[in-house]
Amino acid sequence: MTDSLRGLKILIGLAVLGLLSLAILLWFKTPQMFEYFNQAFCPH
Amino acid sequence: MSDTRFSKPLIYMLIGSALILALSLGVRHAFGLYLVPMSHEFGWGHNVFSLAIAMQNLIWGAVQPITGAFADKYGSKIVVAVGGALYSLGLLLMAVSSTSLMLNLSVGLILGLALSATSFPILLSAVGRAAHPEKRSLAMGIASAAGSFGQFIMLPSTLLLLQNIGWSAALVVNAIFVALIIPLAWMLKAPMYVAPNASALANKPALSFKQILVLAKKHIPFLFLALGFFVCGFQVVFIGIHLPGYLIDHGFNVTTGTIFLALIGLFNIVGTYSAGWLGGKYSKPRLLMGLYGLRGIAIIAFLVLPLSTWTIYGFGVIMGLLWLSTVPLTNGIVANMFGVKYLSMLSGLVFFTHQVGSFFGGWLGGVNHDMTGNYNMVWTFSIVLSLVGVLVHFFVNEEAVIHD
Repeated sequence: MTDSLRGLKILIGLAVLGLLSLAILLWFKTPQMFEYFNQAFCPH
Repeated sequence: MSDTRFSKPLIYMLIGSALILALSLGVRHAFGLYLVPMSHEFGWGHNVFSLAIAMQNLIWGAVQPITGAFADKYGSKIVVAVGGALYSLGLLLMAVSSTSLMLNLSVGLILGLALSATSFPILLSAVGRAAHPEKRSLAMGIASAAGSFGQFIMLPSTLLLLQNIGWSAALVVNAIFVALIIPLAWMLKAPMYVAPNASALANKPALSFKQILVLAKKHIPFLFLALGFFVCGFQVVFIGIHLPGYLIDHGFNVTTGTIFLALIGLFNIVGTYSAGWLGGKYSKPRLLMGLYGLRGIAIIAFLVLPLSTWTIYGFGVIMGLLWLSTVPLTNGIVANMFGVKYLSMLSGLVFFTHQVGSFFGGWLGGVNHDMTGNYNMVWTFSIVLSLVGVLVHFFVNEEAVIHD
């Protein structure tokens, strides 16, 4: 494997980890998500 | 022995496909969040927005084989670029929609068409064409996992946008995001993988669209595969739409429900990637049998075990792992059966049955609840469908009908 390809793979790995952490943080900031789903879809 | 590693152009294409799927499916996944604020502002009943979404799903499914045929004939790049432009236009029109007619035009027609040009059947086929057959399933799994990731990150992002800048401005921001699909489409330019023995097959005349359709229609394993995807659509949409109501019926709070939704999203990423990876090592029909069987067992366990926060979280993790993991396996089987030349169109045909299943999963859940005040009949039907899923995939094989 060439150095540039290995570098690209490491970069992608770090980007995925960063985005995943960001996504989990966003879920913590939106605890009322379920309420939106419930109001939108459910026959109650 | 041929080199099975991902080539640089394929890696480049995978990155492009992953970003496009994350944007397209992510923005789509959050559409339901607009129902409440838009209906409230314009005094609509929930039926107005719901009709537009139902139209979108049906148009998306019905035109998918046609969009796929265009991608097969003219290339994925141009179809995805046009889809990205339509997607952006549809969201901008949705942002100024104040009547049911405009909503049906934007959400139903334009976004339905846009989704058919920017989602799984087109992008997975593009990736599948460029990958070595041994690595095709893994490549499809990576691209599918990116779509799942898009859903996981866009749901809370959209809600935060809605709460901070309002629904109309949030749609404009999303329109700018999906406009990025247009330049990203130019990353879909990896050449089709050519087998070392291709010269021996090159003399065989290529089949036309019509001939391949006739062949697919008569190929029983293909029809069973499509039937299996109906099961997937039904179960995913029934659980996605109606489980919040089920949890409310049983007295659970908003936090438990939100964690459940987040767990499905998070483990869906793991599930789709793992399914693609496993599909490259083991028989895809057998994996699908196991997957539908596990769905049935998970549903039975969820209904039979005493309902607690932990059984709900456990169900979220397991269903997340099994959520879209059917996608790379099902598309991979189509590629193995018929080759990659008409893969987008044939994957589109299978996807159509998924959308029909989705329609019935969403609709029948509501009908069941309206008539009986519970979801017992549709839960039972979902378990029966799991058995159907196991059975039909027993008769599916990956044997090549066409060698290309």
